[in-house]
This record gives sequence, C-alpha cells and structure tokens, in this order.
Amino acid sequence: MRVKPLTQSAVSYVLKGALGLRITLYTFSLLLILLATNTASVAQQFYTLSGRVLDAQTGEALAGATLFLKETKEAGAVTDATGKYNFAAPAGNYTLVTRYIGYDDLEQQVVLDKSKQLTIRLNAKTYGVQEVEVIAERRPPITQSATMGQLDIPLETIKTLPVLFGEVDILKTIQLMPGVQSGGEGNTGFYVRGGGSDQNLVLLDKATIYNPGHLLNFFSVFNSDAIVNTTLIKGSMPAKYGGRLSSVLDVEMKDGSMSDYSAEGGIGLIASRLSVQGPFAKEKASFILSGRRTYIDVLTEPFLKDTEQGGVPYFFYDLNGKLTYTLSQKDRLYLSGYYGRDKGTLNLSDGRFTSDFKWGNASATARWNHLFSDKLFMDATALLSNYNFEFTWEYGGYTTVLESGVRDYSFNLDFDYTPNVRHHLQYGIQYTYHTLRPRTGQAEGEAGEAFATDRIKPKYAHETALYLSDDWNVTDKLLLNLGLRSSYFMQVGPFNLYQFNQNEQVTDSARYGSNDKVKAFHNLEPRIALRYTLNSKSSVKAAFTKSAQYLHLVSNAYTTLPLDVWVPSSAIVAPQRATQYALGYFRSMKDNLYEGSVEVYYKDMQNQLEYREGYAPGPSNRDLEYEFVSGSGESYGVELFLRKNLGNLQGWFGYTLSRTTRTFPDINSGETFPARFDRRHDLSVVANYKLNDKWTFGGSFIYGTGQATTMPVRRYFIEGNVVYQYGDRNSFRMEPTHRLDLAATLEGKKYKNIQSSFTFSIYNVYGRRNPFLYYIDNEGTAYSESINLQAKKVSIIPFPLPSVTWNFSWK
Amino acid sequence: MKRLQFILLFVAALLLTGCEENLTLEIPEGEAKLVVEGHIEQGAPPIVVLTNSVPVFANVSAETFRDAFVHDAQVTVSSGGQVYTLREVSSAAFSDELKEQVALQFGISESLLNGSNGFPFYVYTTDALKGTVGNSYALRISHQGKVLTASTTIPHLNPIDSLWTLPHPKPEEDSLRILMYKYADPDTLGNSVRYFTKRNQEPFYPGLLGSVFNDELINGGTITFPLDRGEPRGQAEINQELYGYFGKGDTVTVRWAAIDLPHFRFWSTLESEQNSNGSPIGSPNTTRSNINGGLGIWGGYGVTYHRIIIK
Repeated sequence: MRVKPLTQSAVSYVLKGALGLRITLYTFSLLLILLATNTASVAQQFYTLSGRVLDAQTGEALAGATLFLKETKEAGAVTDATGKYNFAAPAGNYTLVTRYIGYDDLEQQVVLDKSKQLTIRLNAKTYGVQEVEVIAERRPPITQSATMGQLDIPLETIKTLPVLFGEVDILKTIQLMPGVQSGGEGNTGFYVRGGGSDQNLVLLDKATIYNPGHLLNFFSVFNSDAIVNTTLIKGSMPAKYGGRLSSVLDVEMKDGSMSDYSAEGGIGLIASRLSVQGPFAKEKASFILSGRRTYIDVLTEPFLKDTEQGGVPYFFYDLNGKLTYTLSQKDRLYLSGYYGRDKGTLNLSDGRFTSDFKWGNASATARWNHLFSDKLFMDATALLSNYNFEFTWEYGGYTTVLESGVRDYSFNLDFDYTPNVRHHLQYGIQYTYHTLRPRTGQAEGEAGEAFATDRIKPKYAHETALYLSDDWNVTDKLLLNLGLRSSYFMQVGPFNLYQFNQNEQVTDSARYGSNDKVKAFHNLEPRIALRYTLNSKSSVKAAFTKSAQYLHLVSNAYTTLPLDVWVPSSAIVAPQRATQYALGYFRSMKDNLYEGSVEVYYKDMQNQLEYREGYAPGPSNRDLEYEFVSGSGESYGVELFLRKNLGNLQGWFGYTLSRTTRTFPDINSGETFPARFDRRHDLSVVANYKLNDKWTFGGSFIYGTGQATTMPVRRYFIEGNVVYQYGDRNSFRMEPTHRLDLAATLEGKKYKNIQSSFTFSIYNVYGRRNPFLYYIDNEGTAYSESINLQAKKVSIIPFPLPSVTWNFSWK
Repeated sequence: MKRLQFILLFVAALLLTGCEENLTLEIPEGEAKLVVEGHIEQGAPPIVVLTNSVPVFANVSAETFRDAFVHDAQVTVSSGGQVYTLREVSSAAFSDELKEQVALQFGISESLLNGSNGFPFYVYTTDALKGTVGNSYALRISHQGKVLTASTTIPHLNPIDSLWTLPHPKPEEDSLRILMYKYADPDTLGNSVRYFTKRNQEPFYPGLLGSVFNDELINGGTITFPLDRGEPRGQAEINQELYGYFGKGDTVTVRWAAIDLPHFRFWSTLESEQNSNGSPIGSPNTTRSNINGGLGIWGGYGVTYHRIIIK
C-alpha cells in the first residue's frame, strides 16, 4: 500500500537531494580534474590484473585471499567479499602467487602486456595427510591500506574462541577489539570510541539491522553458519558508508556452493543450527539456507507444566537464505534474506494478566553486480529492512497492544572504478525511505470502548546520499584517500507538529499532508585519510572524518531493550554530527608474522541525545522526542594493538586508554559529566593454539574500568518512605570488570562424509562477579519499627558456566 | 528425573536472572537539600513538613530522624491575594483535628503522634486558612538564606461513578474479591487522581505499585478497571497471593483525590523509581519535584470518599 507514494517520491527526492548538493558536485569535478592530470604520466607503463578467486571444487568465492607478484613486493591485492581482486603493476613477466587459509598456494606465470582478467581456482588442503606448517595470511599487512581502524575478523578465529552457552557470536568477538567496548556482562551491545550504541551501522548483506540482539542482547542475531565475513570500521569511515557516527559493522552472508551439496550444523546447550547449501544449476546458481532456534521452552515444558510458571515460555529463532546466480562472466545476481523473532508469553496474577510479546528483524537484499570492463564495476542493490516490537496484554477487561518499529526501503547504486594504477574510485548514490513507528498503544475494553495514543503517529523520511572517494597513490609512499559524502534527509508528512505548554498540554498544532516537507537537513561529510609508508615494514596514517546521523535511539536502561525506539531527525530533533581526527603508526614485523599499531583519536560530537532529568518511562500521548535533551560529547584516547597472524599460536592483545564526556545544558546543572560508556582502561587478550590436528584451544581475558553510574548520595522521607537524592551524573564507578573464558575444540574423525567436532567452553573461568548494576535496597519506613538500607550489586553469570556444542559438516 | 528437572530449571533461571550480593560502598556525602512534604486539602489547613536530606548511609536512628527536621523557617502560603504565615507545631502540641489530618496526609499512624512515646514530628501549619476546591496556593519558604517556592491547586472533584466486586479467578479462593470501579473522566485534559484504600479500621494506604493516574490517554472517556488494595510501602516482600484483593466482609473506604499535573508527576516519577530500583531492565530516574530550590512536593488534594461493604 505504501509502495505507490514511495516509487513516486523516490525519484523526485533523489533529484531534489541531488539539486541541494551542487557544492558536492563541484568538489567531485575538482577531484576528477586532479585525477585526469595524474593519469597521463603513469598510465602507459601499468596494466591491471583483475578477476576472482574461487574454490576449485565448489566454485565458491573466496573472500580475503591474498595475491601478489613474486618479483615485486609492491603489487598485490586481497579479494573482497565476492572474491574479486584488482591491482596494477608495470608491464612485465611475473609469477602470481595466490594464497588462502586452508587452501594450497597457487603459483602461475603471468605476462602482463595488457590489462588482464584471470579467474583463479584454489584447491582445498587435504588435512591429516601432512602437518600443516604455516597458515597463510588472510589479511594484507595493516601497513598497506589508507583506512584506519578497520578490522576484518575471519570466522575461523571467531569459531575457536570461547563463548557463552556455546553460541558463537561475532558481536562478542568484536568487543575484544581495541576501541570497542562491550555493553556489559554477556551483552552483545557495543560502543565504539565513545559513541552511543545507536551510532553503529550494523549491516547484513547491506541491509540495516536495527536491533541486532536476542534476549536482552545476550545473543546476536547473526547465526555464525550463515556468515562468511565481518568487517568493523571504527575509524575513518569510507564515504560510501553513512548515517551513523561511530562505526560500521558490515556482515556478509555466505554464498551457497556452486558445485556440491553440503550441510553443516550444531547442537548446543540452548540452541541448534542447521544449514544446507548447494547448486540448483551447476556452476551457475546456488542456494544456502540456515536456521537456528533455541529450545529452552520445549525442553522445560514437560517438567514445568504443572508449576506456577508453566515452563519458560520464551524462544528465539533466525532464518537466513541466499541465492546466487551467475548470469554471465560479467553479471551476478544475489538474493538474500533474514528473518528472526523473539517470542514469549507472560502470565501474572492468577491469570488475570495474560500477555504475549514478540520482536525481531527482517531484511531482504536483491543485488546485481555487473562488470562493465576490467576497470569499472557496478553494484546495484535494492533493500528492505524491518524491525518491529509488539506486546499485547489483557487485564481488567481491556486488551492493550503496544507497538513500535522501523521499516526502510532502500536503493543503492555503487560504482568501483580503477582508471589507472594511481587511482581507485568509488562513487554512488543511496536512497532510503524510512517509516519510523514510535511506541504506540491501543486499548480496547470489553464494552467496545477504545483508547489510543492518537497523537503519536508514524514518521516518514527520505534519506539520500551521494558519495565519491578516491584511493590515490600520490607517490609510491603516499596513499591518499579523499572522500566526500553529501547527505540529505527530509522528514515528510503526514505529520502533526504540536506545541505544548508547561503543563504538556497542546496549545497549537500544524498539519502536514502526505509527502509535504516538514523539515530537511543537508550535511557535507568529508572523509580524508592518508597513509605514508616509512619503509617496507612501517607506515603512518592519519584521518579526518565528518559524519552525520539522522536516526536516533536513546536508552536509559542498563542495557538496550527490544522496546527501545528509533526516532528520526525531524522538526523536533536535529541530526547528530561528529568530527573525528585520528593518527596512527602501523608496523608489520617478521614478514607479517606480527603486526602492531598505535592509534590516537579525538572525536567531537554534537547534538547528542539523552532523556531529560526526571524522565520516567510510562504511557504518554506525546512523541518521545519531547523527552529528549541535547548536548555535546567528546571522546579521546589511544589504542594499542598487537596481533600474531601465523603459526600454531595466534592471537592479539588490545588496550585502550580513553575518556568520554558529555556536556548538556539541562543535565547535571550544565556541568560536564562522564558518558555512561566512558571507560578509562579497556584490555583484551585473545589467543588460540592449535596443538595438533585434533585439538585447538582458545582463550580470552578482558579487563575494563568500572562502569560510570549515578548513585544516591542522600535520602529523605515522603510518607515515611525512603526517597533518594542522586549525586552528580555518572560520578560513581562500579568495580572493574574482568573475566577469563576458555575453550577447546576437538576435531572428530571423519565418518563417511561427516566431519564433526566438539567445542567445550567455560565462560567466566574463575567465577568473577562482575557488576551489572548497583542499587540501594531499602526495607521498612520511617514510621515502622526498623528501616534497612543496603547497597547491592547485581551480577549476571557470576560463576563458571561450562557448555558443550557438537558441530558437524556433511559433504 | 528430579535431577534433570533441577538442571533445566537452573539453566532457565540462569538465562533470565543473575545474582545479588551486599556491598559496602563509599559514597560521597553530597549537598544537603531542603525537602518539602506539604499538602492542602479542601476544608483542612495547609500542613508542611520541612526536613533536610541526610547522607544515604547516615545512621538509621531516632536522632537522625529528629535532627532532619528544619526549625525556625519562615513559611507562608498565599491565595487569593492573602498571605498566611504558617507556624511550627511539634506533635506534642497537635490538636485532635491536626493529628487526624497529619495521620491521613502523611501516612503516619495517630498513635505515633501522641508525643508521649518520644516520636518527634514537626509541621508548619495555620488555623487561618482552610483549603477550597478550585483555588491555587503559593508556598514560600525561607530558611538561612535559602528560598523555596512552589504552587499547587485543589482541583475540582472527580468522584468515582460506582464500586463493585468480582470473584477471584480461582473458584476455590472464594474469600477473596477483586474491587472494580467505574470512572467517567471530564472532558478537560489534565485530570489526575491519587487513590488510597482503607480496610475496616486500618489506616488509608495508597496503591502500592501505582497510586496515581492521569487522563492523558482516556480524556473524556469512561473506564472500568480493577482497583488494587493499597498496602504499606517498604515491605520486605509483597504477598503475591493476596496482592490487590479484598476479603469478604471487609468494609472498604476509597479515598479518591483529584490532583493537579505537577502533583501527579511527582508521584508517578517517585513510584516509577521505586518500582525500577534494582531491576536490571529498569531505568534509574529522579523524582520530579515541584519545589523550586528544593526537593519534595507541595500538593493539593480534592478528596471524595467512597465506601463499599464486600459481600
């Protein structure tokens, strides 16, 4: 039903957005001129080598494979998520080496007398025949790219690390990286460089996932069997990404195999997984389907059905699917989707209160890749993202429904153009139509009387962005990444803008019709990064990034909740903006056996949001935005990172020293206060050790400064009951958090076509009682016999928690 | 079998709960603030209790309680162009009417106010002013250079339409009844109510989990809804089986007080804070006071009483 206005308006708003972006176009043309002048001097001697790296048996794309020319160390590339590579070298005869973890190296002769396209097929290593000595690097040396603070996290690493309840979780691995903080014990929420949890752009096959957690964020929505690649960008965000201030988490779903059918899965303590894949047209088209479901509800039901609670009436599930179709050498089509739900019921008061709740994300991606030439590549995507939350209850003769959600329709057109060896351009246009449904409630009585939050309506907005970036090899030593993103956001009707008096009563209202402009915002977001190579082993990098964010989520609770509401920039709330400066020194050691970096950053954030003082969540007929106050934020810090990439023992050490503060005129009497996620020290040590072909061990240790919190400092009585007077905002620190987790993976013998393994893990090995929250409990009243005040610490998983998961794969 | 059941329960509990332990915290003392607890009700004098907030872990003793009272403050209430000065009275000197009003408005039992048992209580009040429905009252307090101001109204009365009872959902619990009420909201937005219930000779207790409501979502409508029995706060544990219910044979009196919006906000934020204290998914928030320069409440009550004998 909503498709019609969307298609009509999409075109006109893309154009309108573009018109507003004249400045951008000027800058773009300037860049292009710069480019052209550089092209002439170098173009003749260089040719490009491009193509894809595939699994020789299955035809699957291999992401992260390394290619280089033996004769010249300068030239080489790493394949992207679709297995593509592209690099240039002076004309000549070369030996091209291709490496990929778990595959045999491939060397081949290449005569580079013109630009060439080459598909490379690698054979999987046959394990068990001989000892695997060295595992080839998957990453390019960190000294090479211009991007700062980009982390690629291979799934193999993730899978050998210890996890809670045996559920492999990419979000929890990400929290182990420097500059990234966890949202609390067992929690998948994360904070990057002093940014709020709403400032991370979480993408699954390019579609935005608005609430990436299950069960109060103990588990992420990413089923590890369905994921192939995860990239976190926390520093200099390339111009193609936008809409969030702090980071991009780009998660890519696996392609199915083009040649063989296979299945994999696992049975764990709380959930099981199954994934099947294969071709439906050999070498042309493939599918993959993955599912995961928890079964606490099913397992406990027979035992608890006679108890008061009647079981644990809660479960969640995820479904992922992807179709890949090779139309021609030059065209590929991808269709992928995700659907996940948390569901449960809750009954109280002898059945007088009955309720059920459900929430979850859904996404769909349709993607067409086209190779115009070896220099120009196009990626066209149509996307759907949806998140919704629904809570229905019956009590006292009324049925009440509480709902909230987000729905996006997007279309992106991205180009990748390598005119010559000196330049690599990325440019494109992105458009999204947002529908943000705030928290609305409706109640209906038995007699048919109905009440609703009728002043709270969905909000609609168009978001457009135009971007251009160029990786420019200025000299052999200097690589410059110049990017510019021009973003435009327009809130449109239907919308009623109310004016309220001090008593929160409506004094005036303005009505906007369907698709009428309510408020528009335009931001120019320059992204500049440079890398200067000091010598073959080390480089320095610097970055300057401006970003704008048009959607916001404000949370007051100790953890992000499924009922937290996303709101758009509008006539009521202005966009968030940030400027980040970063500088780093990168070094690779012993032939990239070790790599290390030191990065410093400073981030200035404007229009940050918090709930106003004295806000209490409750039913209201006023948009939530009226409960926000805005202010500025500041974060700075230094991050150390040391990683061992190869050998039987691999792992990393990350340490962050940082400070994050906020200044709001209406909070803490205008005094600057520590942000809730301000953490002075944050340390993580991660290791995995391959003992032999059977056993692999993994471990992680974390330490973090205690969480900033606001505690009562004084008390008084009202009607004899204790009421607290709170101290300065976030001026109190909880105990530091630290924890050791261990895991061991045992590879089983191959039986027929089934390879299986057991993963044993212990979460919180030494039973640390990490604080989740502090509060002061009170019993009694001023007028009763006694009164008791006691500070309490609440911990989650305060003891060693073992788990075992059986994983299998069938080919 | 028992064992498996235990393990499953254990795992389930793990997923949903954590553990709690006592803690000794070094908390800074903070700055003492003046706290107002003051009400004016139709037909009754203004009564104001003035105290200082004390450090959260200050000794819990009769001395701390007594020392928190603020004496010798200049307290005035103005209404309709007239200024009334309130004078300080200690519980030993309370008249019977004052004793009754203090007990009712501040949730303290009359026996405690008998002075002889050493329980100290001080209020500021005046005989010269009695609350009238529809009037506004401005409070001004000055003490040692600090000035607090607030204003409130006694809103027009919004009585309940009717009261009746329904049986307990479990037929075997035939001694317990659910109290129902019907309320027709006037067509003006902003009507708010605070309710208290009284069983037989017990004192009035406000609704435990929520004693206030507001017509923001039901403006002008008529609702019928269960009215939970009020209970004293500060209980170590709520008796889940009895919560909300009344007993057969009880004489129930409902004190139904119309309040203005700032008064409503005070109780609603206070109750929200008390209910979410210690909850991992709760949101810590501060109570919204209507006192400029201090904490607490200056609130008018427009009260009607309703009685039902439960059969």
